Amino acid sequence: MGIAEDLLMLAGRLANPAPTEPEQASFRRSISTAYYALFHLLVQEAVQSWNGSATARFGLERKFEHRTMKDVSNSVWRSSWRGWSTPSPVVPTELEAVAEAFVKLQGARQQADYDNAKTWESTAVQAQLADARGAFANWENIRTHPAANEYLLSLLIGNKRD
Amino acid sequence: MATTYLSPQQLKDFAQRVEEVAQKFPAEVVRIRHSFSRDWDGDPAIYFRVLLTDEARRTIPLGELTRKIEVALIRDLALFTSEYSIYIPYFEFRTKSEQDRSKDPQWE
Repeated sequence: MGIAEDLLMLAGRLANPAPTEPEQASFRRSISTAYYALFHLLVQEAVQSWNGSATARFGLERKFEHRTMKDVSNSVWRSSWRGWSTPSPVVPTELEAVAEAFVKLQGARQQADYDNAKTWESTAVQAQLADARGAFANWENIRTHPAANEYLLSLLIGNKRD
Repeated sequence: MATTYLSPQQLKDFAQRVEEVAQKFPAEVVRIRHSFSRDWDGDPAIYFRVLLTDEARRTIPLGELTRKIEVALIRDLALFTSEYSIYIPYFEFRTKSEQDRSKDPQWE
């Protein structure tokens, strides 16, 4: 099991804290961890085809930027993204769902990590977790699709310009 | 932060349409509140706060429940195909019993 799957499992545990554990801190870490689970899933998928050294692959992983990944995913979610091949590949609904989850989880993660005035309820945390789990399942279904491959490229270098 | 590029009439119409979406789910949704703001990156955003019935939370898988409400809001409010398309929609869900306990004014 890779780091992405481990993080998703950890997010599930944190979403259900024991009565003796700090609830709000656990909820916040659950949401943040669920986001990073999806983040690492996509980054790992993107760099796994790199044939260079492991060191170079780690360097490549560090080039992925949250902001760029959000912008690309937002475009995919609202069907305005264009792939790199011509004609642009048809985007399966599963990929749109992955992109949607990425945008929503990133927004929730920022709130969870930075907005200390906010109180999280269990249902909200479980809903974010359900989004993350759904994204993992959807990704598994379309990870070899041409659109998924081009999405991963876009996550690294951004949306295609006119 | 109540940042918006929409007129008072547009905001009123939008609120009405949000209410209409909530009414489509009488067994699942108590009410939906929303606010226009900016997210942590500074992008225009709409934050939807969906108050669920406890019965729906108990009987419907959460992912399925939230999905159909989100899809209805995006579709019925034309969030990706209208003047609202510059806003990123964010959705948060809680149950009525959770809100009764927390009494968060933003959810009332």
